[in-house]
Amino acid sequence: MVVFKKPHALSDVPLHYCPGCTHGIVHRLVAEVIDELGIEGKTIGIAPVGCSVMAYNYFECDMIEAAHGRAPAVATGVKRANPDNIVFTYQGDGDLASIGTAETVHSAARNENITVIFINNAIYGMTGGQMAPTSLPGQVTQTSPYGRDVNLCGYPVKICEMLAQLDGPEYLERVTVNNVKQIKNAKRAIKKAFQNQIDGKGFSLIEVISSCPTNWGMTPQAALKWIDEKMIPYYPLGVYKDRSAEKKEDKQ
Amino acid sequence: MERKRNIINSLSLVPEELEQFNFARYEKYAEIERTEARAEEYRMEDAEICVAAFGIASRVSRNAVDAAREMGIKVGLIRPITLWPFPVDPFKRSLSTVKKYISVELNMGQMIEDVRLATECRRPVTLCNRAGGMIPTPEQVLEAIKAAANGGEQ
Ligand SMILES: Cc1ncc(C[n+]2csc(CCOP(=O)(O)OP(=O)(O)O)c2C)c(N)n1
Ligand code: SF4
Repeated sequence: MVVFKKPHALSDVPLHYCPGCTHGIVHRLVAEVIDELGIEGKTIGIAPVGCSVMAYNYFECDMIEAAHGRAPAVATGVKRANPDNIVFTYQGDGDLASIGTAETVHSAARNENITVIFINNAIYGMTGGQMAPTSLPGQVTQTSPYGRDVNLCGYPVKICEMLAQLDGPEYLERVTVNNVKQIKNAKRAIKKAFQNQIDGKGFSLIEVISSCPTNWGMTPQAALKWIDEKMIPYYPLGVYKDRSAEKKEDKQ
Repeated sequence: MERKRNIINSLSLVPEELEQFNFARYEKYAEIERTEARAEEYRMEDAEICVAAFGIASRVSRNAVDAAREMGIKVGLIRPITLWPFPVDPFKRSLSTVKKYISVELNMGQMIEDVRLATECRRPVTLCNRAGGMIPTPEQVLEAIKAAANGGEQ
């Protein structure tokens, strides 16, 4: 009996991610969901610019690599041209919450029927650990060596809270993957975000609080702990919008 | 998945592959440079002074060239129609008669560098320009032509 195997939707190549990076876990969850929903062959992924740019080599489906931050715009075009395909983006916080803020906000406002997987690791990973819009107050990064000074750099952008103000989006949830329980919960959320698209419900975004041990300057274990101690208090987990559930409540 | 998956990207992280890609691109650019450069030459047959101008500046310069010709100054106009590829040939040919070039531009001087490159800096090139949306008058260009003819400004 096979107890554990690689999801079919994940290519059989070595990942380039650093040891202990949670990108790999999230890749696996997305691939498992593609397998379980039986949407391999009709799923199109949009890769970002960032550490996960090479996601196009890892997901065993058709992939397009978008310019930095433009993934939701590319996804919009793909989905509108091919409404029968399942279209997802996979983006970091530098990509989605900084250079791509406009695309993020407007695709949510338009309630595009796409699925967005948003990796919030509070830093620019690929370029060597610069401050991201999501870096925490006081967080030490390459470009904030004395800690993020909110008087100088402002406050972090809370994407789920921000998008929840819009009438457009169907589903917004923040999860993390720093232990088994949370990984299971994250998978449930990601699956729902894909199911929503299959059901034609519209824009679903799952924000995954992730670790970047390399640029946080921590061991993988310490990084997972830092998620609990620092990230989650600032970025509370949970559902920020679920329009279908809201509608059901209205009827009752 | 049954069929081979499609990957659409513009990223090439293998140096051996990227170098070949660059070579292929540059072959294409070279072909464009050979086949697509366009320019209009106006009264250039025996010109000793050449005004280089495109767009609005070229229309102004044409009047100035006509006025200068009436005064007996041997001046012509090369009007690049394509700026890339830059029409190097008409400038190269013009070197047999032209002694001075004037680049007339609606900016702080951008094409002047292309004129220098096209003539391989073998003749002086001066700038006659306005900027910010201002347009030189034919008189201003005529003054520049007269100054060049009188050996001034160099
Ligand atoms: C238009 C453009 N601007 C800047 C860059 C440089 N760049 C590459 S990756 C990156 C940041 C990515 O950070 P994030 O989205 O947080 O992803 P991570 O690497 O942390 O997974 C930047 C700014 C680029 N490639 N393109
Ligand atoms: S730099 Fe950070 S985000 Fe990028 S692969 Fe390494 S640990 Fe992961």
